[in-house]
Amino acid sequence: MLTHILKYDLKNLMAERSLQLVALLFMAVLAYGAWNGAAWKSHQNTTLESVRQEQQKRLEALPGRIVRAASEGLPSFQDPRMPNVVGSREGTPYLILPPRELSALSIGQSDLYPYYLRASTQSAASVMSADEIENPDNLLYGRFDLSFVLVYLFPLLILALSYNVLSAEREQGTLALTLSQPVRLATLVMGKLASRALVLVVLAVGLSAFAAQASGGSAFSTEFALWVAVILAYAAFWFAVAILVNSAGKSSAANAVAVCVCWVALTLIVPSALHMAAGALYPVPSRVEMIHAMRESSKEAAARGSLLLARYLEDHPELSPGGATAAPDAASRALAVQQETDRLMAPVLERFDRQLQGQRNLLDRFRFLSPAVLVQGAMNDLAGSGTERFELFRVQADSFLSRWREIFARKVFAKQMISASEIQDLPQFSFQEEDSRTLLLRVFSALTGILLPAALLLFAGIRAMRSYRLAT
Amino acid sequence: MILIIARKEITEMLRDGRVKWSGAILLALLAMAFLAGWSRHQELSRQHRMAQEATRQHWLTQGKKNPHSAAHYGIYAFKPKLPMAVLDTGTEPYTGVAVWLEAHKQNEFKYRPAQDATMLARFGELTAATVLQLLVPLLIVIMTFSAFAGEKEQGTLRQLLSVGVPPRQLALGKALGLVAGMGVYLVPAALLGAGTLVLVSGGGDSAASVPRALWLALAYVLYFIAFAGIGLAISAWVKSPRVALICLLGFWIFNCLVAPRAAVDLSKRLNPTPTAFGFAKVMAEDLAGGADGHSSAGDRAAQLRANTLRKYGVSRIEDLPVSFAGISLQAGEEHGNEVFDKRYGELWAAFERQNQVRSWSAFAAPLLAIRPVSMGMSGTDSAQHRHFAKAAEEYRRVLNRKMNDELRDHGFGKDFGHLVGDDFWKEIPAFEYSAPDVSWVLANQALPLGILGLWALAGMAACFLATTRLRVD
Repeated sequence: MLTHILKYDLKNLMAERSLQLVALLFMAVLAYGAWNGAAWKSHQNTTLESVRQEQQKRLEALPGRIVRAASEGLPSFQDPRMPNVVGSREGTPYLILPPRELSALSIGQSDLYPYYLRASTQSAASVMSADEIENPDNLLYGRFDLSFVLVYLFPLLILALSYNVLSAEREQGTLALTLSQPVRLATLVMGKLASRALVLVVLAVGLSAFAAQASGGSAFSTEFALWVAVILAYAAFWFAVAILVNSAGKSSAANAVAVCVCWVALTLIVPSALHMAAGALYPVPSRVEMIHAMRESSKEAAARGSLLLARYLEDHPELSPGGATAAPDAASRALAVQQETDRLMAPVLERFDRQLQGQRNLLDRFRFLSPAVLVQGAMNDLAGSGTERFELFRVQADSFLSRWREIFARKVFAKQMISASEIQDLPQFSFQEEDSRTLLLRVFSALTGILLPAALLLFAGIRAMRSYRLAT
Repeated sequence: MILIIARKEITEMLRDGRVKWSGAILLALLAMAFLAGWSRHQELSRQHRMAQEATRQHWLTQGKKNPHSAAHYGIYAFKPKLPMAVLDTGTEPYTGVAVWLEAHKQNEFKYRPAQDATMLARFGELTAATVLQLLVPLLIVIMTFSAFAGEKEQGTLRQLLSVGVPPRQLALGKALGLVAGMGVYLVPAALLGAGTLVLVSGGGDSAASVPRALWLALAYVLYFIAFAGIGLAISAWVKSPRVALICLLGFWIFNCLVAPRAAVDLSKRLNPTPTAFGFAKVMAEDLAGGADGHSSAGDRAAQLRANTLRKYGVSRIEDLPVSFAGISLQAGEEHGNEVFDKRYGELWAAFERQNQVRSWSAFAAPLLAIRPVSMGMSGTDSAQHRHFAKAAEEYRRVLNRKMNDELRDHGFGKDFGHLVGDDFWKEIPAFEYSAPDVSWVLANQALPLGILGLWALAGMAACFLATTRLRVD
């Protein structure tokens, strides 16, 4: 019976042309989203390629320059044998967060956080405050990628095709006729919705797969399987909403308003209200305060470390009375001050991280209030553009940078020069992806968070249908 | 007659549970947004005042040092918030809050607040602007979709026309009823907004906000007129309220969701944003060479030497009556400034072109017109961010020139050994910034504001046309 309904409803929809229109629209926006995501991924890859090339060229030339420098008598601030010169400029590697397989599917936070950083012996805070350039308006408006289409537009199309699945039949008078056949109302609704779901889900999954393949990723991976699961769960949720609304037995126009309100509440209002609540409950101190603390700390450190001359000589060691021989001393004094500043700043930065962690914990608990938030989060996770991955990058970068600083600090304080053979032994950064179990767990909890309310809505809808009145 | 129709409309509207509830929720959201905006503004302006004073204090109490060392120490400039920003936070979450003004270098603004938030920030801030731009049009859709189509379906339109009610009068009455119905929600909303503004300004610089607030209100009224006109027109055009609702919701979705993001990606394709890596690379090349691409640092130094010796009529640097270090540093600054002007100019021009593409796209979706105007009047658009950035950079240049002049004029023979103290730091005026006035913003936002006006006209015209041709079948 179910397949029977499905078949005839599909025929009906085809004849009505509304399905074709919706499917065509959906295909168009999916394709535009996929195209934009792919362009962003290839832009990132091109950028990283030129970054890697610059690093390779510089590091390959460095040993030769070190050898030549012995006979050139360069001022110390340009001398490639000086540890502070190598550690802050000449020998620094890039810390790269490479795009993941599915990164074309969701731009996520990848336009907000930097995905490559240039290492330096300067404080980690200053290295990591380097941002990718972007027009703030573009960041504000957001990008048109596949996840945008799936999070916002997909539910709207689902609702557009299903808000009147029962009410329209009743208004046309066909519902009573159909139900005079041996079919349950719930079966009829399921059959009618299955036909609509089939078309939309096939398109969503198909174009996602195409986007993944076309952007150099793979549609045959665990991540993509989970991507499909997220799409299915999200579709199930919104169909369940439509069923519940239909079961109330109101007119088509009333249903349209009701599903619209549900959509606005869950995708627009709840997320921004949550954002507001997170900011109010765990206010991250403004960076204005942090800068203030940083200045205070460096002033304090400077007062202790007779900074004036050191800083000044660091800026212009070529002009210092002792010439190149005095420079390492200036460098070590500057380094001492920097280390002291970092030490003083640590508790301030910790407060930032604590508050931000508070916000994240709040989000972890309350994201279940909005399936849109859950889906966006899961999609970002699967595409490798989520906050967690950038946070992991930040943590790994931080520990790499402290290792980097340590290496050069020792040499600066010991007034050792860097030899040509040491260059190839300098550490390189390579990002360690998150343990795949943690990622799976997060996506699964999101899936549960979508499917559970979907099941409840469906249950309530089917129950309410028992007392559905065929005539108004 | 018109008044009778209007009265009937408004009675019906206010009795409609959907309108009542959505209106109440809207007002509640607005109140929440104002409250949150107010408390955030209090906190941020307190921090801003403190930081501004502290950076000045750091400057004044830096002790005895060489002027060039002081230039390296520099100061921080913190971007102030206009009281109007409570209504629309605009690009603020995505523009850095502070810039370091130091020697040799024009820095980027750092610390975008959205980076210090969760991913929820990307779903948008809950501000008055969000409510007015996205949700109020939805309320208008709900209020208008059945205006004519509903009467057609119920058969009451036939009755009305048969008793000789002129369609024009019917339309006018319905429009009037709609205006009154909207007024029930928007007047308290406007009062709430005005109250928040007064609270936020604390009686201080509220005068500057008045013209901005009035233009903002006008822009929103135009936006709402456009939506109301389209809503009534569609309702008169189509046969059933269901079709009217679907059409209007489709337009709302296109306007509020599809168009803005589609325009961003389109504008980025037409005018790509450079990468930080590429930008830093050309900047470094320019600074080492010349902005014109052919002179080298060595050439410039030799040229400067020769020119300086000629100017003072001596043959050796040691014979100069002034400190050559000061002259040389200033020449370096000026070369740098030329490069920064060129490269930042290009970057900002690219951003501006992207924004222009979005503004022109407003012919397709009025949201793309109201949004920049709203941000502009609230002082949170990217143009006003750049206005501040330019002022800060101007101050950096003045500061560096003063430091270098001091070194040149009084550092003779001592160069970098020349130390100055607190008295000299005091001579440097603090960084003062005043936001551009409303006419500056208007000139910037003339295009979107004009398009918004056209949308309002088009909405009214569509309503007029559709209702004069009002037919029963």
